Amino acid sequence: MTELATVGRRATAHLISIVRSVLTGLVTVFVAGCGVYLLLDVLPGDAAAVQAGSSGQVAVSRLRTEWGLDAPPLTRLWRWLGGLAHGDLGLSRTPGNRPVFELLEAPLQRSVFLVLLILIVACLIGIPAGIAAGLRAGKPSDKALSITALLLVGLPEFVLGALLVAVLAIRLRWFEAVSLVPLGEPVWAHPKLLVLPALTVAIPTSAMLMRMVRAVVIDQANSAHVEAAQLAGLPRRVVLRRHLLPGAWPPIAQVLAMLAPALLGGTVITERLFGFPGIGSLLVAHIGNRDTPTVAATVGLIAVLTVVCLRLADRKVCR
Amino acid sequence: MKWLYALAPSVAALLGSLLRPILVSADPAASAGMPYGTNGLLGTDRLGRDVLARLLDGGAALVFAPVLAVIICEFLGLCVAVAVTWWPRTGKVLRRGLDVLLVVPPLLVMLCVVTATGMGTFPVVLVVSVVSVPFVSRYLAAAAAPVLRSGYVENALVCGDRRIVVLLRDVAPVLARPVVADAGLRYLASVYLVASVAFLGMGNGNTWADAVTDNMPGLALNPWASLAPALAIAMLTVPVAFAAQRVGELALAGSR
Repeated sequence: MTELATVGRRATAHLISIVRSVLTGLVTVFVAGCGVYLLLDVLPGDAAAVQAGSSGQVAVSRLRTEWGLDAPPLTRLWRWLGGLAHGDLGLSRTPGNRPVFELLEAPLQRSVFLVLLILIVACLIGIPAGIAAGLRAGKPSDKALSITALLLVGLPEFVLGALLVAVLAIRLRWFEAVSLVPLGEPVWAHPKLLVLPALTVAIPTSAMLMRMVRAVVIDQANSAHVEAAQLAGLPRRVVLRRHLLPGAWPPIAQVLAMLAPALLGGTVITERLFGFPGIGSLLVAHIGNRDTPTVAATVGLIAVLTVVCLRLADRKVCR
Repeated sequence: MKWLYALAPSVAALLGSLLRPILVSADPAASAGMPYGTNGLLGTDRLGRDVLARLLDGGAALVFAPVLAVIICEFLGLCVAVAVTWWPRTGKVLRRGLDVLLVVPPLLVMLCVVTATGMGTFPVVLVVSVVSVPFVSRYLAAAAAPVLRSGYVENALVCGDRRIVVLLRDVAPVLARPVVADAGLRYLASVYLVASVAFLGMGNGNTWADAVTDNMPGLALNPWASLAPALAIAMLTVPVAFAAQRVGELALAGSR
Protein backbone atom coordinates (compact mmCIF):
# COMPACT_ATOMS: atom_id res chain seq x y z
CA MET A 1 0.00 0.00 0.00
CA THR A 2 2.79 2.39 0.94
CA GLU A 3 4.54 1.68 -2.37
CA LEU A 4 1.31 2.30 -4.27
CA ALA A 5 0.84 5.61 -2.46
CA THR A 6 4.42 6.63 -3.26
CA VAL A 7 3.93 5.79 -6.96
CA GLY A 8 0.65 7.74 -6.96
CA ARG A 9 2.29 10.77 -5.33
CA ARG A 10 5.12 10.66 -7.87
CA ALA A 11 2.69 10.40 -10.80
CA THR A 12 0.67 13.36 -9.45
CA ALA A 13 3.83 15.44 -8.96
CA HIS A 14 4.93 14.53 -12.49
CA LEU A 15 1.55 15.50 -13.92
CA ILE A 16 1.56 18.80 -12.01
CA SER A 17 5.07 19.59 -13.31
CA ILE A 18 3.95 18.85 -16.91
CA VAL A 19 0.83 21.02 -16.55
CA ARG A 20 2.90 23.84 -14.99
CA SER A 21 5.48 23.55 -17.78
CA VAL A 22 2.78 23.69 -20.50
CA LEU A 23 1.08 26.67 -18.84
CA THR A 24 4.37 28.57 -18.44
CA GLY A 25 5.16 27.84 -22.09
CA LEU A 26 1.73 29.06 -23.24
CA VAL A 27 2.08 32.28 -21.23
CA THR A 28 5.60 32.84 -22.64
CA VAL A 29 4.39 32.38 -26.24
CA PHE A 30 1.33 34.59 -25.61
CA VAL A 31 3.43 37.41 -24.13
CA ALA A 32 6.04 37.10 -26.92
CA GLY A 33 3.38 37.28 -29.67
CA CYS A 34 1.56 40.20 -28.02
CA GLY A 35 4.88 41.97 -27.34
CA VAL A 36 5.96 41.81 -30.99
CA TYR A 37 2.46 42.86 -32.16
CA LEU A 38 2.46 45.91 -29.89
CA LEU A 39 6.10 46.76 -30.66
CA LEU A 40 5.40 46.90 -34.41
CA ASP A 41 2.10 48.73 -33.98
CA VAL A 42 3.35 51.32 -31.47
CA LEU A 43 6.58 52.32 -33.25
CA PRO A 44 6.40 55.30 -35.66
CA GLY A 45 4.92 54.61 -39.14
CA ASP A 46 2.49 51.89 -40.24
CA ALA A 47 1.61 49.50 -43.07
CA ALA A 48 -0.69 52.04 -44.77
CA ALA A 49 2.10 54.65 -44.95
CA VAL A 50 4.51 52.05 -46.40
CA GLN A 51 2.03 50.82 -49.03
CA ALA A 52 0.45 54.11 -50.07
CA GLY A 53 2.94 56.73 -48.84
CA SER A 54 3.69 57.97 -52.36
CA SER A 55 -0.02 58.09 -53.38
CA GLY A 56 -0.91 60.89 -50.98
CA GLN A 57 -2.61 61.31 -47.63
CA VAL A 58 -6.07 60.34 -48.91
CA ALA A 59 -4.88 56.93 -50.06
CA VAL A 60 -3.05 56.40 -46.76
CA SER A 61 -6.18 57.33 -44.76
CA ARG A 62 -8.33 55.00 -46.89
CA LEU A 63 -5.95 52.09 -46.26
CA ARG A 64 -5.81 52.92 -42.54
CA THR A 65 -9.60 52.71 -42.32
CA GLU A 66 -9.71 49.55 -44.45
CA TRP A 67 -7.11 47.77 -42.28
CA GLY A 68 -8.45 49.12 -38.99
CA LEU A 69 -5.27 51.07 -38.26
CA ASP A 70 -7.26 54.10 -37.07
CA ALA A 71 -8.17 52.17 -33.89
CA PRO A 72 -5.84 52.37 -30.84
CA PRO A 73 -3.05 49.70 -30.74
CA LEU A 74 -4.61 47.84 -27.79
CA THR A 75 -7.95 47.56 -29.62
CA ARG A 76 -6.15 46.19 -32.70
CA LEU A 77 -4.31 43.67 -30.48
CA TRP A 78 -7.61 42.66 -28.85
CA ARG A 79 -9.22 42.09 -32.28
CA TRP A 80 -6.22 40.03 -33.41
CA LEU A 81 -6.35 37.92 -30.24
CA GLY A 82 -10.11 37.45 -30.77
CA GLY A 83 -9.36 36.06 -34.24
CA LEU A 84 -6.61 33.82 -32.84
CA ALA A 85 -9.07 32.36 -30.32
CA HIS A 86 -11.09 31.18 -33.33
CA GLY A 87 -8.04 29.83 -35.14
CA ASP A 88 -7.79 32.81 -37.48
CA LEU A 89 -4.31 34.32 -37.82
CA GLY A 90 -5.78 37.42 -39.49
CA LEU A 91 -5.23 39.08 -42.85
CA SER A 92 -1.92 40.36 -44.14
CA ARG A 93 -1.59 44.15 -44.36
CA THR A 94 -0.18 44.02 -47.89
CA PRO A 95 -1.89 44.47 -51.29
CA GLY A 96 -4.30 41.57 -51.79
CA ASN A 97 -4.90 41.11 -48.05
CA ARG A 98 -4.16 37.41 -48.21
CA PRO A 99 -4.87 35.33 -45.09
CA VAL A 100 -1.69 35.07 -42.98
CA PHE A 101 -1.96 31.28 -42.76
CA GLU A 102 -2.01 31.00 -46.57
CA LEU A 103 0.99 33.35 -46.79
CA LEU A 104 3.07 31.35 -44.28
CA GLU A 105 2.31 27.83 -45.47
CA ALA A 106 4.70 27.40 -48.42
CA PRO A 107 7.68 29.43 -47.06
CA LEU A 108 7.41 27.59 -43.73
CA GLN A 109 7.56 24.21 -45.50
CA ARG A 110 10.66 25.31 -47.43
CA SER A 111 12.39 26.65 -44.33
CA VAL A 112 11.59 23.57 -42.26
CA PHE A 113 13.06 21.41 -45.03
CA LEU A 114 16.19 23.60 -45.13
CA VAL A 115 16.55 23.46 -41.32
CA LEU A 116 16.17 19.66 -41.32
CA LEU A 117 18.84 19.43 -44.02
CA ILE A 118 21.12 21.72 -42.01
CA LEU A 119 20.58 19.65 -38.86
CA ILE A 120 21.36 16.39 -40.69
CA VAL A 121 24.58 17.80 -42.20
CA ALA A 122 25.57 19.38 -38.86
CA CYS A 123 25.00 16.05 -37.05
CA LEU A 124 26.95 14.09 -39.66
CA ILE A 125 29.95 16.42 -39.27
CA GLY A 126 29.67 17.79 -35.73
CA ILE A 127 28.93 14.65 -33.69
CA PRO A 128 31.73 12.38 -35.07
CA ALA A 129 34.20 15.30 -34.98
CA GLY A 130 33.18 16.12 -31.38
CA ILE A 131 33.54 12.49 -30.27
CA ALA A 132 36.93 12.20 -32.02
CA ALA A 133 38.18 15.44 -30.43
CA GLY A 134 36.82 14.52 -26.98
CA LEU A 135 38.50 11.10 -27.03
CA ARG A 136 41.83 12.71 -28.00
CA ALA A 137 41.53 15.72 -25.68
CA GLY A 138 44.76 17.73 -25.50
CA LYS A 139 46.37 15.92 -28.45
CA PRO A 140 47.35 17.75 -31.68
CA SER A 141 44.34 16.37 -33.61
CA ASP A 142 41.98 17.69 -30.90
CA LYS A 143 43.69 21.09 -30.94
CA ALA A 144 43.46 21.28 -34.74
CA LEU A 145 39.73 20.40 -34.68
CA SER A 146 39.00 22.79 -31.81
CA ILE A 147 40.83 25.72 -33.44
CA THR A 148 39.04 25.10 -36.76
CA ALA A 149 35.69 24.92 -34.98
CA LEU A 150 36.34 28.15 -33.06
CA LEU A 151 37.43 29.88 -36.28
CA LEU A 152 34.16 28.85 -37.96
CA VAL A 153 32.05 29.84 -34.94
CA GLY A 154 33.74 33.26 -34.96
CA LEU A 155 32.79 33.97 -38.58
CA PRO A 156 29.46 35.72 -39.14
CA GLU A 157 27.09 33.70 -41.33
CA PHE A 158 27.02 36.19 -44.20
CA VAL A 159 30.82 36.40 -44.30
CA LEU A 160 31.05 32.62 -44.65
CA GLY A 161 28.24 32.71 -47.21
CA ALA A 162 30.03 35.39 -49.24
CA LEU A 163 33.26 33.36 -49.17
CA LEU A 164 31.41 30.19 -50.26
CA VAL A 165 29.73 32.07 -53.12
CA ALA A 166 33.08 33.57 -54.19
CA VAL A 167 34.81 30.18 -54.25
CA LEU A 168 32.14 27.55 -55.06
CA ALA A 169 29.77 29.57 -57.25
CA ILE A 170 31.88 32.21 -58.98
CA ARG A 171 35.40 30.74 -59.11
CA LEU A 172 34.63 27.00 -59.49
CA ARG A 173 31.07 27.38 -60.90
CA TRP A 174 29.90 24.25 -59.06
CA PHE A 175 26.67 25.78 -57.72
CA GLU A 176 24.33 28.69 -58.37
CA ALA A 177 25.03 31.92 -56.45
CA VAL A 178 21.28 32.34 -55.84
CA SER A 179 18.72 29.75 -54.75
CA LEU A 180 15.58 31.05 -56.43
CA VAL A 181 13.31 28.01 -56.14
CA PRO A 182 10.51 28.36 -58.73
CA LEU A 183 7.23 29.19 -57.00
CA GLY A 184 4.81 26.30 -56.86
CA GLU A 185 7.54 23.68 -57.10
CA PRO A 186 8.74 21.68 -54.08
CA VAL A 187 12.12 22.73 -52.78
CA TRP A 188 13.43 19.14 -52.76
CA ALA A 189 13.01 19.03 -56.55
CA HIS A 190 16.02 21.37 -56.82
CA PRO A 191 18.68 19.84 -54.54
CA LYS A 192 21.54 21.76 -56.19
CA LEU A 193 19.98 25.07 -55.16
CA LEU A 194 19.97 23.97 -51.53
CA VAL A 195 23.68 23.14 -51.23
CA LEU A 196 25.11 26.62 -50.62
CA PRO A 197 22.38 27.88 -48.21
CA ALA A 198 22.54 24.61 -46.28
CA LEU A 199 26.36 24.66 -46.12
CA THR A 200 26.46 28.31 -45.00
CA VAL A 201 24.48 27.47 -41.88
CA ALA A 202 25.52 23.83 -41.44
CA ILE A 203 29.28 24.61 -41.25
CA PRO A 204 29.12 26.96 -38.20
CA THR A 205 26.35 24.82 -36.66
CA SER A 206 28.45 21.68 -36.93
CA ALA A 207 31.40 23.59 -35.43
CA MET A 208 29.22 24.65 -32.50
CA LEU A 209 27.87 21.11 -32.14
CA MET A 210 31.40 19.69 -32.30
CA ARG A 211 32.54 21.91 -29.42
CA MET A 212 29.56 20.93 -27.27
CA VAL A 213 29.86 17.20 -28.04
CA ARG A 214 33.59 17.38 -27.28
CA ALA A 215 32.86 18.89 -23.84
CA VAL A 216 30.22 16.21 -23.11
CA VAL A 217 32.54 13.38 -24.20
CA ILE A 218 35.43 14.71 -22.06
CA ASP A 219 33.05 14.94 -19.10
CA GLN A 220 31.79 11.38 -19.64
CA ALA A 221 35.31 10.02 -20.21
CA ASN A 222 36.31 11.31 -16.77
CA SER A 223 33.31 9.71 -15.03
CA ALA A 224 33.83 6.83 -12.60
CA HIS A 225 31.91 4.17 -14.57
CA VAL A 226 33.91 4.79 -17.76
CA GLU A 227 37.20 4.70 -15.85
CA ALA A 228 36.06 1.45 -14.18
CA ALA A 229 35.27 -0.06 -17.61
CA GLN A 230 38.69 0.97 -18.90
CA LEU A 231 40.42 -0.48 -15.82
CA ALA A 232 38.47 -3.73 -16.31
CA GLY A 233 40.35 -4.06 -19.60
CA LEU A 234 37.39 -3.74 -21.94
CA PRO A 235 38.33 -2.89 -25.54
CA ARG A 236 38.21 0.83 -26.37
CA ARG A 237 35.36 0.32 -28.85
CA VAL A 238 33.21 -1.46 -26.25
CA VAL A 239 33.90 1.24 -23.62
CA LEU A 240 32.85 3.87 -26.14
CA ARG A 241 29.68 2.11 -27.32
CA ARG A 242 28.40 0.63 -24.05
CA HIS A 243 29.63 3.01 -21.35
CA LEU A 244 30.61 6.40 -22.72
CA LEU A 245 28.12 7.21 -25.48
CA PRO A 246 24.90 6.16 -23.66
CA GLY A 247 25.68 8.83 -21.05
CA ALA A 248 26.59 11.40 -23.69
CA TRP A 249 23.42 11.14 -25.85
CA PRO A 250 20.98 12.98 -23.49
CA PRO A 251 23.08 16.22 -23.34
CA ILE A 252 23.70 15.96 -27.11
CA ALA A 253 19.95 15.56 -27.70
CA GLN A 254 19.39 18.63 -25.51
CA VAL A 255 21.86 20.63 -27.61
CA LEU A 256 20.09 19.53 -30.82
CA ALA A 257 16.67 20.37 -29.38
CA MET A 258 17.93 23.86 -28.55
CA LEU A 259 19.57 24.31 -31.94
CA ALA A 260 16.51 23.47 -34.06
CA PRO A 261 14.32 26.51 -33.21
CA ALA A 262 17.35 28.82 -33.19
CA LEU A 263 18.07 27.68 -36.74
CA LEU A 264 14.51 28.35 -37.92
CA GLY A 265 14.74 31.91 -36.64
CA GLY A 266 18.35 32.23 -37.72
CA THR A 267 18.05 31.32 -41.40
CA VAL A 268 16.99 34.91 -42.14
CA ILE A 269 20.50 35.92 -43.21
CA THR A 270 21.13 32.86 -45.39
CA GLU A 271 17.71 33.06 -47.04
CA ARG A 272 18.28 36.71 -47.92
CA LEU A 273 21.85 36.07 -49.08
CA PHE A 274 20.77 33.36 -51.52
CA GLY A 275 17.28 34.67 -52.31
CA PHE A 276 15.78 31.48 -50.84
CA PRO A 277 11.98 31.94 -50.57
CA GLY A 278 11.60 30.73 -46.97
CA ILE A 279 10.17 32.08 -43.74
CA GLY A 280 13.24 34.30 -43.13
CA SER A 281 12.89 36.14 -46.44
CA LEU A 282 9.16 36.50 -45.84
CA LEU A 283 9.76 37.92 -42.36
CA VAL A 284 12.27 40.53 -43.53
CA ALA A 285 9.94 41.64 -46.34
CA HIS A 286 6.90 41.86 -44.06
CA ILE A 287 8.78 43.63 -41.24
CA GLY A 288 9.75 46.21 -43.87
CA ASN A 289 6.06 46.49 -44.86
CA ARG A 290 5.04 46.85 -41.18
CA ASP A 291 2.68 43.90 -41.68
CA THR A 292 2.05 43.28 -37.98
CA PRO A 293 -0.34 40.27 -38.19
CA THR A 294 2.07 38.27 -40.40
CA VAL A 295 5.16 39.13 -38.33
CA ALA A 296 3.46 38.48 -34.97
CA ALA A 297 2.03 35.16 -36.19
CA THR A 298 5.45 34.05 -37.49
CA VAL A 299 7.23 35.09 -34.29
CA GLY A 300 4.52 33.29 -32.29
CA LEU A 301 5.09 30.17 -34.38
CA ILE A 302 8.87 30.33 -33.82
CA ALA A 303 8.21 30.91 -30.10
CA VAL A 304 5.95 27.82 -29.93
CA LEU A 305 8.64 25.69 -31.59
CA THR A 306 11.30 27.11 -29.26
CA VAL A 307 9.25 26.44 -26.13
CA VAL A 308 8.34 22.90 -27.24
CA CYS A 309 11.96 22.08 -28.11
CA LEU A 310 13.32 23.55 -24.86
CA ARG A 311 10.75 21.65 -22.78
CA LEU A 312 11.55 18.43 -24.67
CA ALA A 313 15.25 19.03 -24.05
CA ASP A 314 14.61 19.59 -20.33
CA ARG A 315 12.53 16.40 -20.09
CA LYS A 316 15.22 14.40 -21.86
CA VAL A 317 17.85 15.60 -19.39
CA CYS A 318 15.57 15.09 -16.38
CA ARG A 319 15.24 11.43 -17.34
CA MET B 1 45.93 39.94 -19.83
CA LYS B 2 47.06 38.49 -23.18
CA TRP B 3 43.41 38.36 -24.26
CA LEU B 4 43.44 42.15 -24.62
CA TYR B 5 45.30 41.65 -27.93
CA ALA B 6 42.01 40.26 -29.30
CA LEU B 7 40.58 43.75 -29.08
CA ALA B 8 43.35 45.19 -31.30
CA PRO B 9 41.30 44.86 -34.55
CA SER B 10 38.35 46.60 -32.84
CA VAL B 11 40.61 49.47 -31.73
CA ALA B 12 42.08 49.57 -35.26
CA ALA B 13 38.54 49.80 -36.70
CA LEU B 14 37.77 52.81 -34.49
CA LEU B 15 41.13 54.45 -35.23
CA GLY B 16 40.76 53.75 -38.97
CA SER B 17 37.59 55.78 -39.04
CA LEU B 18 39.25 58.65 -37.14
CA LEU B 19 42.53 58.64 -39.10
CA ARG B 20 41.03 57.96 -42.55
CA PRO B 21 41.41 61.58 -43.78
CA ILE B 22 45.15 61.37 -42.98
CA LEU B 23 45.73 57.84 -44.31
CA VAL B 24 43.97 58.09 -47.69
CA SER B 25 43.14 61.03 -49.87
CA ALA B 26 40.04 59.51 -51.51
CA ASP B 27 36.59 60.52 -50.23
CA PRO B 28 34.60 57.39 -49.23
CA ALA B 29 31.35 58.99 -50.44
CA ALA B 30 32.62 60.30 -53.79
CA SER B 31 33.15 58.41 -57.03
CA ALA B 32 36.81 57.64 -57.74
CA GLY B 33 36.39 55.88 -61.09
CA MET B 34 34.32 53.29 -62.92
CA PRO B 35 32.18 50.82 -60.91
CA TYR B 36 34.21 47.77 -59.85
CA GLY B 37 37.30 49.39 -61.40
CA THR B 38 40.98 49.03 -60.52
CA ASN B 39 41.64 52.56 -59.26
CA GLY B 40 43.30 52.63 -55.83
CA LEU B 41 44.85 49.83 -53.79
CA LEU B 42 41.66 47.73 -53.48
CA GLY B 43 39.81 49.08 -56.51
CA THR B 44 36.36 50.65 -56.52
CA ASP B 45 32.89 49.48 -55.49
CA ARG B 46 29.53 49.30 -57.31
CA LEU B 47 29.25 53.12 -57.40
CA GLY B 48 32.90 53.64 -58.26
CA ARG B 49 33.87 54.67 -54.70
CA ASP B 50 37.31 53.87 -53.30
CA VAL B 51 37.13 50.52 -51.46
CA LEU B 52 40.07 51.27 -49.13
CA ALA B 53 38.59 54.60 -48.01
CA ARG B 54 35.25 52.92 -47.34
CA LEU B 55 37.01 50.08 -45.53
CA LEU B 56 38.73 52.53 -43.17
CA ASP B 57 35.47 54.41 -42.66
CA GLY B 58 33.06 51.51 -42.15
CA GLY B 59 34.36 49.68 -39.06
CA ALA B 60 33.56 52.17 -36.32
CA ALA B 61 29.77 51.69 -36.50
CA LEU B 62 30.20 47.92 -36.04
CA VAL B 63 32.36 48.43 -32.93
CA PHE B 64 31.03 51.47 -31.09
CA ALA B 65 27.38 50.44 -30.53
CA PRO B 66 28.22 46.81 -29.56
CA VAL B 67 30.85 47.97 -27.01
CA LEU B 68 28.31 50.31 -25.36
CA ALA B 69 25.64 47.59 -25.46
CA VAL B 70 27.96 45.03 -23.84
CA ILE B 71 28.81 47.38 -20.95
CA ILE B 72 25.11 48.07 -20.33
CA CYS B 73 23.91 44.45 -20.65
CA GLU B 74 26.69 43.10 -18.41
CA PHE B 75 25.75 45.65 -15.73
CA LEU B 76 22.02 44.87 -16.02
CA GLY B 77 22.72 41.12 -16.17
CA LEU B 78 24.82 41.33 -13.01
CA CYS B 79 22.02 43.24 -11.22
CA VAL B 80 19.50 40.53 -12.20
CA ALA B 81 21.96 37.77 -11.20
CA VAL B 82 22.41 39.34 -7.74
CA ALA B 83 18.62 39.85 -7.38
CA VAL B 84 17.95 36.21 -8.30
CA THR B 85 20.33 34.99 -5.57
CA TRP B 86 19.68 37.49 -2.76
CA TRP B 87 15.97 38.16 -3.34
CA PRO B 88 14.67 34.93 -4.93
CA ARG B 89 11.02 36.07 -5.22
CA THR B 90 11.83 39.31 -7.04
CA GLY B 91 14.47 37.47 -9.06
CA LYS B 92 11.98 34.79 -10.12
CA VAL B 93 9.53 37.41 -11.43
CA LEU B 94 12.36 39.20 -13.25
CA ARG B 95 13.58 35.96 -14.78
CA ARG B 96 10.11 34.92 -15.95
CA GLY B 97 9.79 38.28 -17.70
CA LEU B 98 13.18 37.97 -19.32
CA ASP B 99 12.49 34.37 -20.43
CA VAL B 100 9.98 35.77 -22.93
CA LEU B 101 12.88 37.37 -24.80
CA LEU B 102 14.63 33.98 -25.04
CA VAL B 103 11.96 32.59 -27.38
CA VAL B 104 12.04 35.52 -29.83
CA PRO B 105 15.04 35.63 -32.19
CA PRO B 106 17.03 38.80 -31.27
CA LEU B 107 17.52 39.63 -34.96
CA LEU B 108 13.75 39.91 -35.47
CA VAL B 109 13.34 42.28 -32.50
CA MET B 110 16.20 44.36 -33.86
CA LEU B 111 14.69 44.42 -37.38
CA CYS B 112 11.26 45.47 -36.01
CA VAL B 113 12.78 48.43 -34.15
CA VAL B 114 15.30 49.49 -36.80
CA THR B 115 12.62 49.49 -39.52
CA ALA B 116 10.71 52.14 -37.60
CA THR B 117 13.48 54.15 -35.96
CA GLY B 118 16.41 53.80 -38.35
CA MET B 119 19.87 52.44 -37.52
CA GLY B 120 20.82 55.11 -34.97
CA THR B 121 23.27 54.41 -32.14
CA PHE B 122 20.64 54.82 -29.42
CA PRO B 123 18.04 52.30 -30.71
CA VAL B 124 20.78 49.81 -31.61
CA VAL B 125 22.41 50.02 -28.17
CA LEU B 126 19.02 49.81 -26.46
CA VAL B 127 17.81 46.75 -28.40
CA VAL B 128 21.14 44.88 -28.25
CA SER B 129 21.34 45.49 -24.48
CA VAL B 130 17.76 44.39 -23.83
CA VAL B 131 17.88 41.22 -25.95
CA SER B 132 21.22 40.25 -24.36
CA VAL B 133 20.18 40.61 -20.70
CA PRO B 134 18.37 37.21 -20.44
CA PHE B 135 21.48 35.34 -21.67
CA VAL B 136 23.90 37.40 -19.53
CA SER B 137 21.79 37.16 -16.38
CA ARG B 138 21.44 33.37 -16.67
CA TYR B 139 25.18 32.88 -17.07
CA LEU B 140 26.15 35.35 -14.36
CA ALA B 141 23.50 34.01 -11.94
CA ALA B 142 25.14 30.58 -12.21
CA ALA B 143 28.58 32.12 -11.66
CA ALA B 144 27.51 34.50 -8.88
CA ALA B 145 25.33 32.15 -6.77
CA PRO B 146 28.22 30.20 -5.15
CA VAL B 147 30.08 33.45 -4.41
CA LEU B 148 27.05 35.30 -3.01
CA ARG B 149 26.19 32.33 -0.79
CA SER B 150 29.78 31.73 0.37
CA GLY B 151 30.80 31.99 4.00
CA TYR B 152 32.91 35.13 3.73
CA VAL B 153 30.12 37.09 2.03
CA GLU B 154 27.55 35.97 4.62
CA ASN B 155 30.03 36.82 7.37
CA ALA B 156 30.52 40.34 5.97
CA LEU B 157 26.73 40.84 5.79
CA VAL B 158 26.20 39.55 9.32
CA CYS B 159 28.94 41.93 10.55
CA GLY B 160 26.77 44.78 9.26
CA ASP B 161 28.58 45.71 6.02
CA ARG B 162 26.30 47.27 3.42
CA ARG B 163 25.35 45.04 0.49
CA ILE B 164 26.82 47.42 -2.10
CA VAL B 165 30.15 47.46 -0.22
CA VAL B 166 30.19 43.67 -0.03
CA LEU B 167 29.39 43.48 -3.75
CA LEU B 168 32.18 45.84 -4.74
CA ARG B 169 34.81 44.67 -2.27
CA ASP B 170 34.21 40.90 -1.92
CA VAL B 171 32.14 39.73 -4.89
CA ALA B 172 33.22 41.85 -7.89
CA PRO B 173 36.89 40.71 -7.93
CA VAL B 174 35.84 37.03 -7.96
CA LEU B 175 33.29 37.58 -10.74
CA ALA B 176 35.65 39.60 -12.93
CA ARG B 177 36.73 36.60 -15.04
CA PRO B 178 33.25 35.20 -15.75
CA VAL B 179 32.08 38.72 -16.60
CA VAL B 180 35.00 39.25 -19.00
CA ALA B 181 34.46 35.81 -20.61
CA ASP B 182 30.77 36.53 -21.08
CA ALA B 183 31.45 40.07 -22.27
CA GLY B 184 33.64 38.61 -25.04
CA LEU B 185 30.84 36.35 -26.23
CA ARG B 186 28.26 39.13 -25.93
CA TYR B 187 30.49 41.47 -27.91
CA LEU B 188 30.72 38.83 -30.60
CA ALA B 189 26.94 38.32 -30.63
CA SER B 190 26.37 42.09 -30.68
CA VAL B 191 28.71 42.62 -33.64
CA TYR B 192 26.92 39.75 -35.45
CA LEU B 193 23.56 41.34 -34.71
CA VAL B 194 24.48 44.85 -35.85
CA ALA B 195 26.33 43.50 -38.90
CA SER B 196 23.41 41.21 -39.79
CA VAL B 197 20.90 44.07 -39.71
CA ALA B 198 23.21 46.16 -41.90
CA PHE B 199 23.70 43.18 -44.21
CA LEU B 200 19.91 42.89 -44.61
CA GLY B 201 19.93 46.41 -46.01
CA MET B 202 18.54 48.20 -42.97
CA GLY B 203 21.80 49.89 -41.97
CA ASN B 204 23.01 53.38 -42.76
CA GLY B 205 24.82 52.13 -45.86
CA ASN B 206 28.34 52.85 -44.60
CA THR B 207 29.35 49.78 -42.59
CA TRP B 208 31.46 46.82 -43.68
CA ALA B 209 28.36 44.62 -43.65
CA ASP B 210 26.60 46.98 -46.09
CA ALA B 211 29.66 46.82 -48.35
CA VAL B 212 29.58 42.99 -48.38
CA THR B 213 25.95 42.84 -49.47
CA ASP B 214 26.03 45.83 -51.85
CA ASN B 215 29.05 44.59 -53.79
CA MET B 216 28.10 40.91 -54.05
CA PRO B 217 26.85 41.31 -57.66
CA GLY B 218 30.32 42.55 -58.67
CA LEU B 219 32.22 39.73 -57.02
CA ALA B 220 33.57 38.52 -60.37
CA LEU B 221 34.73 42.03 -61.40
CA ASN B 222 36.35 43.33 -58.21
CA PRO B 223 36.21 40.68 -55.46
CA TRP B 224 37.92 43.03 -52.95
CA ALA B 225 34.90 45.33 -52.86
CA SER B 226 32.99 42.55 -51.07
CA LEU B 227 35.74 40.31 -49.70
CA ALA B 228 37.87 43.02 -48.01
CA PRO B 229 35.03 44.15 -45.69
CA ALA B 230 34.03 40.48 -45.17
CA LEU B 231 37.58 39.65 -44.07
CA ALA B 232 37.68 42.80 -41.92
CA ILE B 233 34.56 41.60 -40.07
CA ALA B 234 36.19 38.20 -39.62
CA MET B 235 39.31 39.93 -38.23
CA LEU B 236 37.06 41.70 -35.76
CA THR B 237 35.17 38.64 -34.53
CA VAL B 238 37.52 35.63 -34.73
CA PRO B 239 40.20 36.90 -32.26
CA VAL B 240 37.45 37.81 -29.78
CA ALA B 241 36.00 34.28 -30.10
CA PHE B 242 39.42 32.80 -29.27
CA ALA B 243 40.01 35.20 -26.38
CA ALA B 244 36.52 34.58 -24.92
CA GLN B 245 37.16 30.84 -25.10
CA ARG B 246 40.49 31.22 -23.27
CA VAL B 247 39.12 33.52 -20.54
CA GLY B 248 36.11 31.18 -20.18
CA GLU B 249 38.45 28.22 -19.59
CA LEU B 250 40.40 30.24 -17.01
CA ALA B 251 37.14 31.27 -15.29
CA LEU B 252 36.02 27.63 -15.18
CA ALA B 253 39.41 26.53 -13.79
CA GLY B 254 39.23 29.31 -11.18
CA SER B 255 35.76 28.23 -10.02
CA ARG B 256 36.87 24.62 -9.42
